[in-house]
Amino acid sequence: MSHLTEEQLVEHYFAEGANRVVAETHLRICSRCEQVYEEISNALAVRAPEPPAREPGYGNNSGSPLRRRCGPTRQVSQAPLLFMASPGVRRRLPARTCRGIPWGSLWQRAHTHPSQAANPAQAKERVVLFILDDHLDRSERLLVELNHAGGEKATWTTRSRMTRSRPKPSNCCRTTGSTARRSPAEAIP
Amino acid sequence: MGNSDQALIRAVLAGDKDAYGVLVERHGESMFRVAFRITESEPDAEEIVQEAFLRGYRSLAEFDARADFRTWIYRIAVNCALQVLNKRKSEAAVPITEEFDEESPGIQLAYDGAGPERLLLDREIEHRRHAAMEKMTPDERLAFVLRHLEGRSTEEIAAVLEVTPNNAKQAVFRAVQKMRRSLAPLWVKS
Repeated sequence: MSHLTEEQLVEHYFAEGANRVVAETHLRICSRCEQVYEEISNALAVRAPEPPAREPGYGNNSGSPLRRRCGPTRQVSQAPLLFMASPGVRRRLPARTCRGIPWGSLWQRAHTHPSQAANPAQAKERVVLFILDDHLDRSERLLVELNHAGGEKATWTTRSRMTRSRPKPSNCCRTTGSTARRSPAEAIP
Repeated sequence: MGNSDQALIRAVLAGDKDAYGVLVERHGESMFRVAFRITESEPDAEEIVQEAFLRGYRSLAEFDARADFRTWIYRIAVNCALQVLNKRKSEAAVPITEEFDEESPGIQLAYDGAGPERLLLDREIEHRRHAAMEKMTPDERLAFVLRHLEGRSTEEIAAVLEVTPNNAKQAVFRAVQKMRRSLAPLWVKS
């Protein structure tokens, strides 16, 4: 007579064994297996302390730490890229770079999904605005890089090209500190 | 249907923060119970629940709408619990011994409280049960709690632990074996 393995007996305890009837029958006639099974049952009958009861509405009270810690989903700080950089990198960055580029808004814009457009015309307009916006971002970054590379002439050329390509309306709100005070015409040498 | 987990998740993603509160209320208590059974510590369990829901909230956008939210959030909670258990293991440099041994550097847990025999036996049982739980690996402990104390199926445990059902079953078996061996001397005595 082959005995049941300990694993089979544990499976039987949790009512998982494939041959439950066979195991049951065997346990009735085999005292050795019955003893092991009893030991398993006794060990599993020992209960751990019961978890303390929670108050109604657990976790959803207005003063709960979780509610306080939950901001909007995917909320990010205004300048995560800058803070993520090591202190050494931050020290090496020119002050104007930190002031001039709205890192936080760049990050947020890249990670927020715009709401759905009401009609096809609006959707088309949004696509155009998005492409233009992206172009301005890249130009702005290039301008800062060139500015700090020391090529004064190249900087002015790029800046003038960029100013010419900019649309007039209030979309051009993210200019650097120095260009914001100047009209596009003044900026061209 | 409007109040299903999926509907609430959609509401949260649309900006309704309170909808997440409903999810927390729905699953918070059962998660606390599991976390408490795994860690056997109320502050740790509280922390795990908070951390799991916070992580869930932050990565809700990545949640697969076809999946079960409960399993998903349990998996996050289990990961938090694993971190707590691993941290505890690394901090507990001095082992807790079961038998008195003068040469062993471990902490001796003495049961010197005088009282009825039953009380002593209960304390001994609890001490051995606790020692067995400490001997289990984090995976075994989680599988044991989910199977034995929470009554979850092998498939559910496998999904939460991200292992195969067979591995989940093996983890439960090893945990039961450790528990049985730790408590066996008491049945002989009694």
